[in-house]
Amino acid sequence: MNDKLSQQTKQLRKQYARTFHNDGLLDFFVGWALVSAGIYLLTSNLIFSFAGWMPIVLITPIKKRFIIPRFGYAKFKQSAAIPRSILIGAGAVILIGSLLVTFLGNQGSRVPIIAALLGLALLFALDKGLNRVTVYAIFIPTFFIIGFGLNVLTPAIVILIGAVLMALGIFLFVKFLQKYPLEPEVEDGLS
Amino acid sequence: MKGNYPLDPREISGLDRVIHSPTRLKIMLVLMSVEEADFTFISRNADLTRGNLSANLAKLEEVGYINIEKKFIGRIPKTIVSITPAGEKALEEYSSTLGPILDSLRK
Repeated sequence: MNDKLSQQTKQLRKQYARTFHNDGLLDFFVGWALVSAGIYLLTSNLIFSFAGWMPIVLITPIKKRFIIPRFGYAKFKQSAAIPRSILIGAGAVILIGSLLVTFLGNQGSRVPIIAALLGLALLFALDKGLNRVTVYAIFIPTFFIIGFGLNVLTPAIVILIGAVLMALGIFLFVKFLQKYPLEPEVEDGLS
Repeated sequence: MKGNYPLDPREISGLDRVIHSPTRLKIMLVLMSVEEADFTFISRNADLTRGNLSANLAKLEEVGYINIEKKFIGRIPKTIVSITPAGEKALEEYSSTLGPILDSLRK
């Protein structure tokens, strides 16, 4: 493909992917995870530790129910420079490594799990080429590390920031639904 | 086109008329950017009405530049469109022919 055309289609691909993921779901679920983490810090109740990341499984059904009928379905060409097989392999190594360190090590700390989540989020970002995921993947662990390091992070602050992100997610979601209203189902006339 | 100067108007005759239509060019550019897309996605991103899109997709399929198939995405049947290698080649050739013509007009 000639350079200019290749560059243009790459830009378009990025623009479509950004629009498709600009539905607020990511922001909402990151906010949800922070609120759950804040409540967990407050109560030490393990349910909130799981509650933070469990709703991630809802993203695909919500996309299928609300986003795809409005924006349309597209399978994006792989935008990552690194082959997916390598990323999957790296993800598996990170996961197994963190589980081994967590369960076989003596420290019993949550650091390996946080590091694994950061690593997996970064690999996901590399695969999808999504800037927003990269920002969150860097922001969340940095936020906790600096916050706890400086002793300025209280459960209330974590919950508050999470609530703000959830509100932002809802705002973006409503905006997306308004911008892309559901079109009436009509026959496309193609066999 | 041989060299940048002078502009040879005969080069313009070599443009692919199927792609030269703005509507079909928009469709081809959208499809060139994705692996496959459904009717709604193309209609949204090429800013085309469903009727217009349908007619032009049929034309592109007729010349073998795109492939249209019915697929189930989840449990919903969708019309899925993808660009064929012949379509990619045609768009590249169109871009290579038109690009130098436009460049020479700018100079």
